[in-house]
Order: sequence, then C-alpha cells, then structure tokens
Amino acid sequence: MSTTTRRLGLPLLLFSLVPGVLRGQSPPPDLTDAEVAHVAVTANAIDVALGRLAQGRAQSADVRRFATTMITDHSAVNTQAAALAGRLGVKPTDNAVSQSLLQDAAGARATLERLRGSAFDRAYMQREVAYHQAVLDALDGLLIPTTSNSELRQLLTSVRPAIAAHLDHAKALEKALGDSR
Amino acid sequence: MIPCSSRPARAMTWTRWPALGAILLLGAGQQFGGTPPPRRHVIEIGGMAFRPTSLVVAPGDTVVWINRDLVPHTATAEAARGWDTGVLAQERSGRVVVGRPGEVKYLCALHPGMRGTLIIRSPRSPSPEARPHDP
Repeated sequence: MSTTTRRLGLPLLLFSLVPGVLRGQSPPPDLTDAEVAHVAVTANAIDVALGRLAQGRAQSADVRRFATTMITDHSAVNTQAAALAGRLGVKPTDNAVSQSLLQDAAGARATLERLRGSAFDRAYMQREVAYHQAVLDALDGLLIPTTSNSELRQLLTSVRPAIAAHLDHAKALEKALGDSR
Repeated sequence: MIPCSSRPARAMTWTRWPALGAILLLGAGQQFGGTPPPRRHVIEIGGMAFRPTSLVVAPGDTVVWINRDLVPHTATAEAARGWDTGVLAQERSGRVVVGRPGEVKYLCALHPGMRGTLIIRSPRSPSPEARPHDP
C-alpha cells in the first residue's frame, strides 16, 4: 500500500465505520427520551472502552494522555446520566441507533487491534476525530432536538462543549502526529 | 513592686499592643495609599472555559477556581514547576495564592484548549491606562 493510499484510505475506512444515522445521511429516527438516554450512555461507553485500548497500546505519551481524558470525561458524563435517569425514573431503552453504534464500535476496535506503534496512534486519533464529529452532529441534529424532557435536554446541551473540545484536541493531536512523520 | 496577681493582666495588655498596632497601621496604610489587604477572586470553570479568561490580581491575593462543568478540570501554570490546583471534579474548587508581579499563563492539563491568564500587578503600579503618554 502506497503512502498516499494509506493516508487517504485509512481515514475513509474508519469514517465509514461511523453509522450513517450519526452523520445525518439517514432520516432521523423518532426516539423516545428513554432511547435518547440509551444512545447517549452507549456513545460515552464506547469511547471509554476505546480509550482503555489506547491507554495500553498507544506509543505517544500525548495520545495516552488524550485516551485517559476520554475515559475520565465520558465516565463522568455517564455517571451524571445514570443519576439523572434514576431521578427521573427513566430506564434507558435499547434501540436501533444504539445497536448501530455498538456494531460500528466493534468494527473500529477490530481495525485498531491489528495496529501497533505510530500506526495505531494515527488510526486511533483519526477515529476519535471522526467519532467526536459524528457525535457532535448527532447532538445538534438528532439528540437535543428529539428530547422532550427538559433536564435530559439540559444534560445533553451541557455535554456539547466537552465534545467540541475533545474534537479540537483530537484534531490537534492528529495533525501533530501527521507533521511528525 | 508589681503584685504577682497583676502579671497575667499586664502580660495580656502587652500581647494586645502588637495586634492593636497592626490594626492601626493597616488602617493608616489604606487611608494613605498603602498596600490593601489581600483579596479573594473567583474564576468559574464552565462550558469548557475559564470565566473570566483574564484576571488582574495583586501579589498575595487568593484565586479560587470552581468547576461547574460535568467533566473534571485543572488550573495549571504553563511554566515548568508552576502551581497546579490538581484535578477538580464537578463543583470542587482549588486555590492559589499569587506571587510576584507579572503575567502567568495557565491551562487545563486535561483539556489543553482551555487557557487563561493571571495578570499580577502590584497595587501601586500604575495601570497601562493611567501611565503618562510618551512625549
């Protein structure tokens, strides 16, 4: 595989693993609040799991630190989401979007598990850029507008700046890894 | 001769003088333009930003950072071996007593895009607006 193909192919391959519904390519499904809560919890849990993989495998100290922040932040959000669901008496309900996210995550993990060293670092950061962009788009275009409960909507709204900051951080690291090649 | 029984009372009187003197000096200092007492400033962390982003303080003042975000943050001086509040979970706070005049840039060690500045200025040093214009 040529360098150009590697540069273009891998991000496209990883981006294709992010579900179409999060990229706004499919019509937005009609989700209940319990389903929105499940999507949010699933999306956070997926990034925590991938962060744990990166913590043990990343070569770059900056990438390992980023992975640790992903674990800490997305765990903190899920703790809040669980507390809110308990307070509201809402049981997060599994749904097609959550299933699609999990299927995508399994594919991304399988791709990343085959990689080592700097190749892993680059692929992980590319995945994090694509994933956080997709989650940000989903918050704006699907999750926040769909939610009817004001407290759940407020939680999703207050999470948005963190996702945007993660995206900027991931883009900066992705660029730094590219520049150091 | 001083009766023994008066000694404790006398001793108490003397121990009070320094405190009284300090209060008088502090009052006089404030009245005649001396150093004001240290102040406490609060910077809130919310929406992945320090608010205010830039703050003017004086040497000896205390700056308190309160994390209102869902996710943990730090306030960490950029300079090597600088101060660090440590990790602040939601609704936790950390404080720093500021040192010599100058400009201290700081960031959140967990989210490097979050940055702030403390402008440490001696109370007697004129602000840029108050400085006379160059001829």
